[in-house]
Formats: sequence, C-alpha cells, structure tokens
Amino acid sequence: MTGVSAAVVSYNTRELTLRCLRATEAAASADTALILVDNGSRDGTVEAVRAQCPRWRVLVLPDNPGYGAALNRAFAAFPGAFHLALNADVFLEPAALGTLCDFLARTPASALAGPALVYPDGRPQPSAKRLPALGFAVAETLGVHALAPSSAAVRRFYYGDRVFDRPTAVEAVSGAAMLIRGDAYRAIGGFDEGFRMYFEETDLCRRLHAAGFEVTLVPEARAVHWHAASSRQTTVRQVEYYVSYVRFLTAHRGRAAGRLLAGTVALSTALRMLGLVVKYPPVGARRTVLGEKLSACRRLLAALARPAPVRP
Amino acid sequence: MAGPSLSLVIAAYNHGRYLSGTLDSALGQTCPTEVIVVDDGSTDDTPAVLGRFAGRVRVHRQANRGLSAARNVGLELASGRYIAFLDADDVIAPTKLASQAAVLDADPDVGWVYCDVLIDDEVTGERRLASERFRYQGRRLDGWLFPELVHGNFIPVMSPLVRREALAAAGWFDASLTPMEDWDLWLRLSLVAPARYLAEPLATYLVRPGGLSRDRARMERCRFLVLDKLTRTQPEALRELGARGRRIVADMHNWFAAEAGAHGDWREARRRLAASVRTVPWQGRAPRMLALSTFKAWCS
Repeated sequence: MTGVSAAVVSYNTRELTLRCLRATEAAASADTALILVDNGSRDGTVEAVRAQCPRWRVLVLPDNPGYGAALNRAFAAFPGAFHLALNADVFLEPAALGTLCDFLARTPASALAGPALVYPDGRPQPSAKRLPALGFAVAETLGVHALAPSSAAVRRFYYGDRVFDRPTAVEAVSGAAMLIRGDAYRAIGGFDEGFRMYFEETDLCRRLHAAGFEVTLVPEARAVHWHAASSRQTTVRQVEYYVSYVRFLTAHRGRAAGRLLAGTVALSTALRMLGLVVKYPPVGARRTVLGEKLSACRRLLAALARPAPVRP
Repeated sequence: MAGPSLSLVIAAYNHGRYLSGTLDSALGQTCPTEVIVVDDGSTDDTPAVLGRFAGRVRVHRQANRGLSAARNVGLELASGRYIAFLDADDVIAPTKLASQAAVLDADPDVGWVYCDVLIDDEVTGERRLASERFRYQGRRLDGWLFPELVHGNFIPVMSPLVRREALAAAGWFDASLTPMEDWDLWLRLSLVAPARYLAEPLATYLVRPGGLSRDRARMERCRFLVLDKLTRTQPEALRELGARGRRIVADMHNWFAAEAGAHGDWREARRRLAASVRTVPWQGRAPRMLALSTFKAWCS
C-alpha cells in the first residue's frame, strides 16, 4: 500500500478548519487522500468545505463518536502507507508533511512522527510528553501542578529539560499533529475508541511502544497550533479528561493504579462540589449554573464507579 | 435534471484481462450512465485498456490503497443521484440500471434496489444464482433488511443501485473489514433506508482462483469483526432484535474469546466471555469457560 492519507477532525470551528485544510493541501502531494471528518458541526463547516475545498472528501459523523473513532473511520475508508492525523486548529508549514514522511520512510524503527508545534506568534509549544505515571497523575488531580506550573516535574513531563534540534525518540507526542505508519497502525488495531476525548494519542503511543516501535519528535517539521481553540476547558470537558485519564492509567499501569487515581479524582470532585456550592450559592439565576456544574460532577463520579474494560 | 442521474463506480486493480468486458457492459446500458473507473495503482495493462475507452469513461488513477478506498474515491467523484458498484471482472445486463432506476423513481421511500446475480465460479465451473446459493425463498427480501442481513450477507457488491442520500447517511466502505466490507456497508444502509428486490439475474459475478473470498479462516474472522463493530456502533438495532440479537452478540464474543484463549491471552478471553454471559446468561459453555479463563488470567 502506498500514499498518504490525511484526516482532519472538526467540530464547530469553520474558519479555522478552512485555514487548516488549505495549509494541509499545500503541504500534501497530488496523490495524498484528503479527508475531513466532521463530528456533526452546526456552524456550516461541511457546506463551506464542500464549496471551497473540492479536493477534500467529507465524512459526517452526526453521533460524534470522539476523536480516535473519527480518525479510525477515515483511515479505514482510505488506508495508506502513512496516516496524518490533524486537529482542525493545526496549520502545517508547506514542507512539514514531506519532512515527516521522509523521516518515517528512512527510519523503520519509528512508527509515529510528530512535528514541532508553535503558537501563532512563533513561540514554541510543548510538542512531546512523557507517559504519565501514577504519582504525576495523582498530583495533577489534586491541583499540585496548577499551583506550581513551572515545577521540575512538570517541566520534565513536557521535555522542558531538553532541547530538540534533531529527530528524537520520545514517549509520546502531542495528538494535535501526528504522522503514523499505516502498517503499525493497523497491526495494533488503530485508536482505542473507548477514549472519547483526551489521551487517545497517548494511548496509541503507549501501544506502539509495546509493539516494539519508537515514537519520534521531528523538529525540522513545524506546524502552528492554535492551542485549545476547539477545546475550551469547561466542566463537561473536565469530566471527559478525568474519565480518559483513569482509563489510560488503568491500561498503562494496571488496575490498582487506575483505581487509586479514580479514588483521588472522586475525592477532589467531592471537594470541588462543596466549593461550587460556596462559589455559586443556589439563589436566583446562579441556581442553573450550579445545577449544570454539579450534574457534570455527578456524571464524573458515576463514570468512575463503573469503568469500561480497557485494551491491554 | 442535468447530466446522467446514474453513476457506476468501477474499482480496478490489475484486472486488465477482464476490464474491457466489464466496461463494454457498463457502457452498453440502455440509459445514460456516468462510468467512473478508479485505477488503484495497477501495474498491468489496465491503463492501456482504459486508454481505449478514453472519453467515454471518467478515469481516476491513484496510488494503490486497496479496493475499498478505490470505491470510496469513486463514490466521492460520482455525480449521479443513484450509484452502483462494479468490480473490474464482473458484467451487468444492459437493462440492469434502467430497471433498478425505475423502481427508485417510482417510490421515493425506497433507498436501494438489488437484483439476482449469476455467480460464475471459474474454479469449480459451477454457475448458480445468488437466490439459490443464499436461499432467497425463505427470506424477507423487501423493506428494512437489517434483521435479515445481520445473519450474513446475501447481496453481492454489484447487485444494488443505491440512492445517493442513503449512501451519504450510511458512510463509506470500511477497508479494515475486507473482504466483507460490502456486508458492513449494507448493514449500515439497511438501517437508514428500506430496500426492494428485483427477481431477475441482471449481473454476473466472476469468482476467480485466489480471490479473497476463498480464504475460509479469514472470512470467518472478518464476519465476527463486522459483528463486533456492529455491537459497538449499533447497539440499539441489535437490541431491537431481542433474543436473536443477543444470541448473535454472545456468539461473537465467544468466538473472540476462543481466539484469545488459543493465543494464550486469558485476560481478553475473560473480558469477552464476561461480555457474552452478560448478554446471554443461560448458555452452554460460556459460563464454565468464563470461570476457567478468570482462573487462567489470574494465574498468568
């Protein structure tokens, strides 16, 4: 099998998506399969893409099955030698895709390559990370990292202690932009669709390592990432984040570690619910805000109580 | 309406020997038809054969990505209101698309029309109709086909003519399920639109030596992969089938449990058996196998 399949996943970010598709198209070659997977946007993304980007094939998934599932369906429909997975808020530099492909083509040990990500103003963005261990996850859940964002542990987690000036094997790259070797992707069965949002890429990297492959950051390839343009940190998203975190840790470090993290998340959620009642006293209009946030917390507690089985 | 309302998508990969017969039958339709050939990186004389048909067929040449991806590309290029698929070694009767289009024209509620197919086995020399081979007599052939299709595919890929909107709602071919990607798509189609059957053999399906459909073990595994995907993506549709649906799901889990056990993966076997017993609690071996696999998983 030859050729590159590039898939962009979008959800209600029309203008960013159009810019992303143009940048990707400029970086792609003539035989690259270009696929937009739209998770049921209501802002006219699909119509705009059909009108303005005729090279892109559009797959609409109204049931919004999540980022990993969306990519799995795109790559199942258009399998290739290399699979490019992109968030809709990533703009590849013109040479980036070629650089990543060349790297994987001449480095059989590596199954996944990520570019160096930068903010729109050119500042570097953390583009690689380590697979979180239990202690790190517990500290993050308890808010230790939020209190000390520049601590040595956090810096080390995002490879802040390293300068990448050549392709370097890392534990995981950012899920915003990844080039994945098609054979390896198919051999490990693609993304675990049990992750709806967050950690699907970290889990993919973990399983690639387990299958004997390397994951590489290739700093010569660059992309601009409008960080968090499509994922505002709401209470609802925090639910997804922690459910995925527990799922990942269970798969990575075993059931006991997963349970311990779930317990910590439950504890901090209970404390948070108390705090919410103090912050939004249930009078007047605030009552609905409080109700929404508390119900998200309750959903999180319910999801933690009955974890879904994970892939080893 | 401008342009032909019928599109025929032909995926070709090293079928040069058979391609001109297929194209003759595609171009010989009694109603105007847009013929799209996706050459999936053929290395034989396919491009030369296509050259002889230049101007009469739309050709898209691409790097080799496999049959499903080629059909998906064709699907995206097709401009007709109704779409049919053809493999590069099959032929269709001149009236096939016209008869099927008439059904879709007459009844806007029908999403797809399929017909009988002559299955020509090059190896055994056997020629049988799909209606005999898949026992159409005992089946419900019209309407919502899901309860019938879920037991196995009985519709060859070149058989249906599908309304574009129905295909758009159902999605693309899934290459990870080759060689049962057609069954997977029909299952999705059968949940978005009712079908109609035309009891005339309007196509010939050539079964060649070394074809994918010969590999028994792979076909069986693929069958369960399709059902596994169905269990994940369409749980409500299976639930509506009641006990029959639960039995299908439990059997699927049991099959994957046996496969995992054979590889010594007792954790996966236990997970599958637990899912199976949750679906159908009263069954012969699964509860005992669950106890065994739990023990083995604990030991390992």
